[in-house]
Amino acid sequence: MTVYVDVTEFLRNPVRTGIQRVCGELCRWWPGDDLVPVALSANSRLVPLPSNARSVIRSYFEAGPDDLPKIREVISQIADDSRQSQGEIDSYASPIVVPEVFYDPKRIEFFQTLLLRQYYNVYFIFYDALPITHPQYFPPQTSYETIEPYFRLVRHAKHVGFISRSTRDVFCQRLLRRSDFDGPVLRLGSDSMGEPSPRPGNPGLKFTVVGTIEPRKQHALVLDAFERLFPEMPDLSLTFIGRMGWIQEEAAARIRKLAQSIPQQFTWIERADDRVIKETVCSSRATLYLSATEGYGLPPVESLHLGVPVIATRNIPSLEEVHGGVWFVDADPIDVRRAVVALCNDSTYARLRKECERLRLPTWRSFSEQVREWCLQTRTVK
Amino acid sequence: MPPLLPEHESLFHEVSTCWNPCLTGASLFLNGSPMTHSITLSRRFLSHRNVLSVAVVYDFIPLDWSGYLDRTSSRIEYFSRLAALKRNDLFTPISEYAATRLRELVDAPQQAIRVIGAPVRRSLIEAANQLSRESVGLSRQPYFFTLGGGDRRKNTETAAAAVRNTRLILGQEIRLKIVGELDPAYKATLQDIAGGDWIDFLNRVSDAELAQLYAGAIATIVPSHIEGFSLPVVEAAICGSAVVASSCSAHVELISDPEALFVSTDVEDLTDKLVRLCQDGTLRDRLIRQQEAIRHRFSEECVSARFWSFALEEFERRFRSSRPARAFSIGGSLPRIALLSPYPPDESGVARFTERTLKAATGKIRVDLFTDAERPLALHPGSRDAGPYSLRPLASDYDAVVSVVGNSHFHNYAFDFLGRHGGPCILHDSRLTHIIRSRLGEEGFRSFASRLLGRSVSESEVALWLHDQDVPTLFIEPVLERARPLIVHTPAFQRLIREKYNYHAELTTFAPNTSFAPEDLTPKAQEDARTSLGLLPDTFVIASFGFAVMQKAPNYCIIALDYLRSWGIPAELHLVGEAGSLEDPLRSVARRFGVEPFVRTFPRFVPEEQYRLYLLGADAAIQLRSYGFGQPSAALVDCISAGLPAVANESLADSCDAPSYVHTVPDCLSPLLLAEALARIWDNRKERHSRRLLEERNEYCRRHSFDFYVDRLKQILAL
Repeated sequence: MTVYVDVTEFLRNPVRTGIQRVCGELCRWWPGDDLVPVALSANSRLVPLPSNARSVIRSYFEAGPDDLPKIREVISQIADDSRQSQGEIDSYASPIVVPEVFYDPKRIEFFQTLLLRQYYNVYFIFYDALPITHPQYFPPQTSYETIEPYFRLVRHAKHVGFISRSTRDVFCQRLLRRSDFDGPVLRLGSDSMGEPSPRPGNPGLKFTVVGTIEPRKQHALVLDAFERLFPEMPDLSLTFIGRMGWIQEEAAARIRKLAQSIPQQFTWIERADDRVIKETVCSSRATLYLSATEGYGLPPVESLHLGVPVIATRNIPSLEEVHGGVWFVDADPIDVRRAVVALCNDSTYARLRKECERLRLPTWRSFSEQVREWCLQTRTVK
Repeated sequence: MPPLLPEHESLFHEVSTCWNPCLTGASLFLNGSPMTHSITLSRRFLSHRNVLSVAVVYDFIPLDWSGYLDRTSSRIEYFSRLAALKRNDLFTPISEYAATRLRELVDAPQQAIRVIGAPVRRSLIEAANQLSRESVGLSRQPYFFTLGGGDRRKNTETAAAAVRNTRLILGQEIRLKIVGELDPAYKATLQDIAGGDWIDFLNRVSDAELAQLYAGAIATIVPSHIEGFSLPVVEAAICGSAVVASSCSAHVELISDPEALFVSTDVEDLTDKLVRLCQDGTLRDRLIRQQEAIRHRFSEECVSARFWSFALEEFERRFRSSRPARAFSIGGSLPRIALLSPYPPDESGVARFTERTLKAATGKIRVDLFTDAERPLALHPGSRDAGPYSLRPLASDYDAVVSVVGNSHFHNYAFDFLGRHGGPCILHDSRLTHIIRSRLGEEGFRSFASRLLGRSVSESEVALWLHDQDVPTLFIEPVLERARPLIVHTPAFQRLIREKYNYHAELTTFAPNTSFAPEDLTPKAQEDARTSLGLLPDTFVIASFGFAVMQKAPNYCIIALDYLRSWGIPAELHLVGEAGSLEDPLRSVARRFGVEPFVRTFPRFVPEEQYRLYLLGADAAIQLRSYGFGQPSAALVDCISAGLPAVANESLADSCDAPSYVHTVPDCLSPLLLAEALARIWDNRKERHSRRLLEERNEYCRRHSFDFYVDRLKQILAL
C-alpha cells in the first residue's frame, strides 16, 4: 500500500513548529517505506515529490542550526519543482492524508472536487475548530469568508481523524450535529524535544510558560498569580517563552514592564530555538499551561515527557488521558497561587515528578503508526 | 461668536451658545443689542408667552444722522430690527434722548420704559480714585483732551480747529491729546487743520493712563454731533476734568451750564469757551464742581440696579402669580413643539420612528413638523406639516424646537440647525462618523478628527472608522456641545456617553416602528403572511431586516445558512432590506457556500407592507451589528414587537433590552455560533406562538411603546 501525505504548506513555509511539525514527524516516524509526500502543483494536481523528499524532510527536523539553511534550500528547490511538475499521483488507488490546515481557495477547490469524485480515500487530520467556536480568542479582523471553506471541506469528508477526544466531540456534535460519525483520536507526540536530560534533584523555584502570547493562552492570569507572590518569595522566578502574538497593547506593555522592573524574577524570551526551550523547561520546577481553550496543547505533554510537572487548567485536551504529574487548577489567580505554593514544597514536587516518570505518553512514532493503521483499516480499494 | 473673556464668563452660572432653549419655564431674555445684530435668532424670544424680553436701547443714530443707511438693503434691515424692537416687553434706554425716540418710533408705552444710563467700568473709577488720593493737578504742559474715533460723527476736527484758534489767540503752547483709533487719513486731516505738530495721537491706553489724561487736561472736549449717551462726559467728571461738550440731546441731559456747551458745528463758540477756560481758572473749578454730581449716577452698581429692579419687578408680576402659559389651541391647552425630522416617504428608519411618535403624540403634544420629505405627508391629528426645513421654528412661540439627528444624509439640516442654534436634540445614532465625513469631505474630516483627538489622523484610519472599526470616539462631540437636553433611546448608550464624555443624556425608550394587534400574531396570520410572500410552509424562513451593510455581517448569515442546511434544517435566508451594492458580493458568497438558491436579497428599499409581512411570516430573525456603542436596532425591536424569535449579538440585544426569545451570540461573531443559535430556534419552533412568548412580548411592548416615549419626551422637555 502507498499512502500519500500532502505537504504543500510545509514546502511553501518550512518551519519546525505547529502543523508543519506534524508533517515532518509523519515523514520522520512513519513505519515503512509506503509513505509518499505529495504537493499541489500550479495546475492543481497532486504531484509526487522526488524519492529523496522524505529523507530531506526528516533531516530538516533532525538537523542542528548550522545545517538548516542548506536543507531549506533543498526544500525550496523541491517546492519549485513540484509547482511546475506535470506529473500526477493515481489518487484513486491509495489513501491521501491531509495533515495541513489551509485557506487557499485553489487548494480548497481542488479537494472539494476530489471529495466529490473519491471521498473514500481522502483522510483529513482535524486539529481544532477554535476560530469558529471561540471567535473571541482570535484577532477581530479574522475573515470567516476565508477560513470557513476549510471547515466546510472537512465537514464533507468521509475520513477525519482528531488530535483529541474533545476536538472530535466538537466536530461531531457541533460542526456535523451527528452522533454516528466516527473518526479516530490520533494523539500528537510529546517527544519533540527529545528524551529527558539528567536534571538536578531539586531545581530552584523557577516556573516556565511556553506558548505564543495571546489572550487565549491567559498569560495575564499567570501574572495575576505571580505578581502577588514575587515580593513574598524572593527566590521565585517565572519565564515566558513565546513571541508576542495578537494581544492588546496594554497587556503587552505589562509584560515588557515587568521584564524590565524585576529581571531577576521575571524573564521573557521572545525567540527561542528547541535547545533553549528544552533547557529552560528542564531547569524549571514546573511549567504552567492555563490556556482558556485548546485543540490539543502540546507544551504540557512535552513538559511531562521531559519529567517536568505541569500546572494546567482542567480543559486541556492533550491531558485528557494523562493521569499524573499535573496539578489542575481553575482559571483563577488564587487557585494558581495555591498550586505554585504547593509545587514549591519539595515533597509535593517530588511526588509529581515521580508521577511524570511513570507516565506513558504518546510519541510521534505512536502517532505515525496510528495514522498508518487508520488508513490501512479504512481504505477502500477500487 | 468668540469665547467670552474670563471676567465676563465669571458673571454667569453657565455659558452656552444656544438660541434654541426649551421655553417651557418662565424666562427672561436680555436683548442686549436689538438694533445691532441679526434678529433672526432672537425673534423666537420676542412676544413669547413664557419669555419676558428686555431690550437695552442705545440710540437711533443711524436714523437720526445721515450717512449710515445709504443702501436700500441696510435701510430694510434697520427697519426690520425697528419692527422687531417693538415686540420686546420692556425697554431700558440708556438716555432720555433714546427713550424719547423710542416712544416716537415704535410707540412703546411709557410704563414699559425705564432709562438706565450707561455704566463707567469699575476699573476706571478705581484708577480715578487712586488719582484723587495722589492729588494730581493740571499738567505742566497744558493740553486739551478729547476721545475720538474713525466715525466722523465724533467731530474731532471741530475740537482741533478750536484748539488751533485758542493757541493763536493766547499765543500759548497748548496741545491737544486725542485718544482713539483714528485712521491715517483722518489723522492727516486733523494735522492739516492743526498746521503744526501739537496734536498727540494716543491709542490703547490703560485705565490708569486714561484717568491721568482726563485729570491733567485743561478740559475735556466732547464735540460729537450726536450721541445716544456720552461716556466721555461721565468719565471726565469721575476723573475730575472739566467738560466742554456739544449741545446734542444726550449731552444736555448730563450738563446744564451753558458755559460748558457749544453747538457742534460752531468752531468759534467752542474757541470762546476754551479761551475762557484757559484764562479763568475759577470757571474750570466751577465746572468741575457742577459736574461732580454725575459721578455717582453711572457706576456699574447703579446702572445694573436700575435695570434689574425694573426687569424683575415685571418678571414677578407676570410669572409668579400664575404658571407659564400654554399656547391657545382648539380642544384644550396643549404644549406645542416644532420637530425637525425626516418623515415618510423618506426611506429611513428614523422617518418611520418620527411618524409613530407623532401618532402617539395626538392629544398630548401639538407638533409642527418641519421636513424636506416629499409632499403630501400622511400626518396624524394634532400634527401639522409646517413646511420644509427653515429657520421659521425660531420665529414662532414653540415650547421647544427639537432637532432629530442621525448618521445619514436625511439629518443634514437638523444637524446644521442644532450646530447653529443648539437646543433639544433626539439622537438616533450612537456615532456620527458618516454624516460628518460626508459634510466635511475627506480633508475636512481629517482635520476635524485631528482637532478632536489632538493628533494627526491618517486616511487609512478614517477608512476603518467608516466601517466602525477601532473608532477612537463616536464623533458626537458637536452634538454634545450644542444639545440641551440630549435625548437618547437606550440605557446602554446613556451609560456610554456618561463614561466616555462625562455627559448626562436624558433617556426615553426605543419603541418598535411596527406594531401588531394580538390577532396579528396567530399561526393563521403567519400562514397568511407566508402565502402573501410566496413562502413555502415547511421551510425554516430566517429574515434579516434593514439595509444590508457589512457591519451587520450578512455574509456570516449566509455561511450560517450553509451549516443549517448541512444539518438537515430546511432553512432559507431572506435579507429584507435594500442590498444595494452588496447584492452581488453577497450572491457570490452564497454561491461559494452552495446556498445561493436559498438566499433572497432585495435590490431596493423594501416597502413597509412587505417588511411587515416578513415580520409575521418568518420563523426566525437574525440581527447583528459588529459595532456596539449602545445603538439600538429598529429592526430587532420590530422583531420583538412581532413576537418573532431572533438571534442577535449580545451588545445589540442589550441595547434593545431584549426579551428571552432573542437568542444572543457573542459580539465576536462566527457563522457556526449563529447557526447554532438559529438551530435552537428551529428545535423549539413550536414556541413561536406559545402563551409564554406572547406574554413576554406584550410586557415588552408595554414598556417600549410610543405612548411611553411621548410621555418621557413631555417630562424631559418639561412640557
